[in-house]
Amino acid sequence: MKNFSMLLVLATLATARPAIAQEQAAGSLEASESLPFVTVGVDIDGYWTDLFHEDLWDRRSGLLVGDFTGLPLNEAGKLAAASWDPGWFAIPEEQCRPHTGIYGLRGPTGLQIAKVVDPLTYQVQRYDVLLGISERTIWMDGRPHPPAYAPHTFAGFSTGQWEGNALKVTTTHVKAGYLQRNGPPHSDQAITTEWFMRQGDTLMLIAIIDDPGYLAEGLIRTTNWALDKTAARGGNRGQADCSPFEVVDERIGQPKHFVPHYLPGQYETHKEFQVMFGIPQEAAFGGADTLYPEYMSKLAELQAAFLKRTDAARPAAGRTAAARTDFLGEWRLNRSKSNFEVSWRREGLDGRDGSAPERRLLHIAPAENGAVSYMIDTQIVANDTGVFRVEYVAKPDGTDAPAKGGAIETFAVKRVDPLTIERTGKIKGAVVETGTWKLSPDGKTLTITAKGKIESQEYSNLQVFERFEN
Amino acid sequence: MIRRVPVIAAALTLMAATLAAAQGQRAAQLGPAPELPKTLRAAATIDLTGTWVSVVTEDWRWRMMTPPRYDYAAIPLNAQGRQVADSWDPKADEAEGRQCRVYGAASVMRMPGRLNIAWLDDNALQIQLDAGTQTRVLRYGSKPAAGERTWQGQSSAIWELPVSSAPGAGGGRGGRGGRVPSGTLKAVTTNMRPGYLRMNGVPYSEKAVLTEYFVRASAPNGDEWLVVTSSVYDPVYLNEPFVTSTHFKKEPDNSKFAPTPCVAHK
Repeated sequence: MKNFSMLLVLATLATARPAIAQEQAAGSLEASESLPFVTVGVDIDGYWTDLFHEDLWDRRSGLLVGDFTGLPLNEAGKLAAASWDPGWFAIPEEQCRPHTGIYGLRGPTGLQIAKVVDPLTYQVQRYDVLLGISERTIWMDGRPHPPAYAPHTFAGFSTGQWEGNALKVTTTHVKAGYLQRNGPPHSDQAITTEWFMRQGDTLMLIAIIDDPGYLAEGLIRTTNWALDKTAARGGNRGQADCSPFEVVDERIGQPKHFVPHYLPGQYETHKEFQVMFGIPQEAAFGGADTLYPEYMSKLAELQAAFLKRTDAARPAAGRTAAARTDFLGEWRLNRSKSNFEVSWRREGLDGRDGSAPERRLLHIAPAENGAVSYMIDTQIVANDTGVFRVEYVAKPDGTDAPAKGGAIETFAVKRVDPLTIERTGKIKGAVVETGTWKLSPDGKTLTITAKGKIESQEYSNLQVFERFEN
Repeated sequence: MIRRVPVIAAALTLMAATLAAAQGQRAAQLGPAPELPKTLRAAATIDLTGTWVSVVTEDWRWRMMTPPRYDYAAIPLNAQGRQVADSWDPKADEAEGRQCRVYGAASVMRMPGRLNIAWLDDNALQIQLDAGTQTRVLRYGSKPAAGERTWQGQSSAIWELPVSSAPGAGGGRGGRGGRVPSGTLKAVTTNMRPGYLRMNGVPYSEKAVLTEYFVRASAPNGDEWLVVTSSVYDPVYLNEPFVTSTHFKKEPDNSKFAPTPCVAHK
């Protein structure tokens, strides 16, 4: 009878969980009066939306060539990573290439996890992990992994078993691929061990990649998703619609089967990242020793020497820009002086998450017949270059000019006075955005105030741009 | 009809007696139920104790070095949060004795370093961190009065266990087998002094609430891992909870644990 009562207590505890989202957001514990534990569900089925609060730069196309920080690459791995050229993604053979099972879940995508039950035995046969561009099957029926000589696939072969609250998954037979989308490779001998765990309304994945080909030690990464409770669940999954008919020649004139690359030692392009963040190549190329706390003091020494070298190499006097007092020129957003307000929360891949973009550059140049060309590059969006561009050429007389690259179809620009422009954006002829551009009298600052409403989403912002010259 | 009532009652009584006898027989077969644990230590299904080193494979550029001012990538800061972050002044922090702002509970687990975890008593797990020489205590049960805010605040802890790992669970069919060594220690921390989420002055307020999940994983090569998922809820500076997972590898001993003082990073 005691056993029966105890099971009843456990069952009651298991079913008495309050609304998870609320307790998770506010922070609370569900302790019963006398027990230091509660029982929880472990179900990972459902729709999950990506969280980018760590490794955002790596996972949402902010990576620069030569940034391999945080990766325990061995010498072969460093060499292969450094030889990778971004043009690799543009060669026809690679344009429709799916991510491998090792990278797939790191990409910017929501996912659906579906449990498939054997109709005869009612046992869980497999989990399907659906994320658009690369899908995975996790076999739960105890089948063995294929023999070593079996073909490898992009997703690899995964088997899983529940270990308490964690679904432990082992994946073998994956094709060679990349650890992240700027070249660091994994070989086809890589084996991944993963644990999927539900923690409140968060799905947490631990993945350890062991690769004798390119890694000096196991690479461990963790990835989080939030339970997707929106009506359009799963709508944020990566693109799956790629076919041979959509492959285009993106590098006109390039010899057939040419593979873009950098030869060993020819790493000039890689220095952009190093100089931008003051990270010497030794650290930028990763390696097991760079991952541990002891490396911080060594890094500080390397950085000091590196900065001394780069400062010495810099020209004594920078290029002096001719002072301009008009709108024309190059402008860079000063995030600290800008303010972005939106009526929505996270929207996924398009960067409209309510915070200022990482970078925004505005190029204003003269065009034909008195028109002006506007080109606005925004970083932190999901495309291959990591830059989202809006461009249009408009006369300053208030006539609508077609725009490329954004939701707004036309912009009308009207010069109010030498220091003021009014801009109006339309979709299907209806005004959706209005804004005022004010130039400071010294021509050094451009302040844009704008507000708009697209469908049901409202936004307003104050963007302060500062003139700069390369 | 009336005469049948006593017959039905007698039949029900007999059935009840039979059922009770069967249950008694079943209980006798199973033996006495195990006593449910009353302390955090007794309820532990995984061992979090030992020395653990952070292995920085994620956010390397934001953790191994001080990121530049204005670099708030990935943190869901609201406008007020950005404004405060923009006014980051490490020299002032140093002058005012607030060098420990990035070593508070909401961020110290992201600082590269080592943890030494041990039971302080049957209901409290102590985490000593060499980064900033900080000590956290995760406690189950009655809390002391809130008192003055501290960098590490007050943490309440409880185990979250799947049914298969819960005390008294049979584990496997028919109630046979043992408990699965699995589970999560959940901790909620409040009463923190306001601090920084990153070394470059990204703020969290005194209203922040930190929710953490501590789990373990055993790698095929024998490495043991501790993973801590942190969710920082801050109605003052964040648009949504800031969620990160930080991993630590177990070390054979405490010989590399090297406490260092708080530093106002520049």
